[in-house]
Amino acid sequence: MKQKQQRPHPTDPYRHLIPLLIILIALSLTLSYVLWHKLNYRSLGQTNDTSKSIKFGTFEAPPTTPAYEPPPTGSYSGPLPITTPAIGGPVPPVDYYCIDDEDPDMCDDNTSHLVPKGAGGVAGSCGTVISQAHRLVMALPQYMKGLRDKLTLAISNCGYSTGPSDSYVSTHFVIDAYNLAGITGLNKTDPAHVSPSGLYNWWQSPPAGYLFVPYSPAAVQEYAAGQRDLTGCVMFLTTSSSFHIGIVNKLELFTAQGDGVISILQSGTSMYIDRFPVANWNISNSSTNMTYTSGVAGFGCYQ
Amino acid sequence: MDLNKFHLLSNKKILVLGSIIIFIILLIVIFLPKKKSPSLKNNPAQTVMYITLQPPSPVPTNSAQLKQAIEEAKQSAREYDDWQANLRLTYPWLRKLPVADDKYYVYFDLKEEKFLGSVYPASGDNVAIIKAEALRVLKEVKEIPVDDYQISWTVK
Repeated sequence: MKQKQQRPHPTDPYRHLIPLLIILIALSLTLSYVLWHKLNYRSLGQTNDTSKSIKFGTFEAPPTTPAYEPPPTGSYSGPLPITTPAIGGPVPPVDYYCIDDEDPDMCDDNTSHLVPKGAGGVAGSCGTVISQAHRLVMALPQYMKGLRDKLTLAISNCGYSTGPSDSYVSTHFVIDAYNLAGITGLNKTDPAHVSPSGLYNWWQSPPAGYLFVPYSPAAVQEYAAGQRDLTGCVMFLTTSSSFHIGIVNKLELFTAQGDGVISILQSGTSMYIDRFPVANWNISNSSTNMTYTSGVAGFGCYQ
Repeated sequence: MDLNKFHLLSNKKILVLGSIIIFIILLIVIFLPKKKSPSLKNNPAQTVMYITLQPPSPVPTNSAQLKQAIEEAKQSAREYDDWQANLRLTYPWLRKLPVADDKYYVYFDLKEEKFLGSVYPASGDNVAIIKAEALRVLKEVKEIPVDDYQISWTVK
């Protein structure tokens, strides 16, 4: 009986080639797998596409719209110039707001007051509070009549975004303006900050950097002299139940003896800007016999 | 073709070595820790957690308290608006004030319910002329009923 051949021919030159090939492939696969898994995390932070947002390690920062970031300014602004009241039409110059002198709404005639947009004053790491307040005002409803109690679009700066809002009260306006300027500490989810009386109390014993300036003619005089710039500070007007608040826009001086007007920016009311006469360094007509208000309580500032 | 050259089972050493390597590969595949799911990168619709740059409030949010705080702000704004609306009804010309020049300043004081004027004459200036000019602006330019109220002048 013929026996079956079990072994390859001893002189076959290919008898070790295929086993060696298998070992080589196995080693290659092992090396590739280990390298891929150990080094892959490093590659996640790399991108050649500069249009995408910056990546930090294993998380990705959200893409943001280009934001206006004016340079911070100091609190000393120098003495205010003596000016004359400006009158203009319904389309004010770029750096002015318009207040109608007859109707309880926005400007629609040529006898309206023009209020210069404030600059400088309270500043954080990302700009001045007043410059952010101007941006927020532009995002309030711009119709002729009606409440300015909504934020129609999100305003972003320095990693902070307001988000749109259907119920934009006066304290929201302040909290957003300060955070957009890079001044942290106020939060729209904190009832003590959203409540006007709570915010007033908070500013009586605030964290480091914040300062409350009680109202006095001397404080207004220091503002005019450039010794303490109140632009961007929060003006607290005492109402019968709480406080109405706005951000100080500008003190306009019409005489060297302390006569002029002070204007504030605000939300939640019919007008986003209001102004009060200043006579001999006194803010007038913030208190009346109508019992609605009892004057300016003071200014919440940051230095 | 000589099929005998593919008969690998004949070499026991090579067979054992190959089996060990394959076993090691299997162990690596099974026990090496998995990295995060690649679907995060590939699926744009998936929620991405962003690191917030704003420090969180140390005070826990209480929705009832927050609603109450918002309501307080709304009520305060209503009071302010009502006050302004009443002022417009009572003194519809109030927003035309103040009138000012480098030599005078006139506004209506709501507490005293009268006009208060300040005159700042330079040396040689006639105070009466400055007052007359201020009154002219109030009456003719601003059309304010000055005569319906008292006016107090202060010369400084």
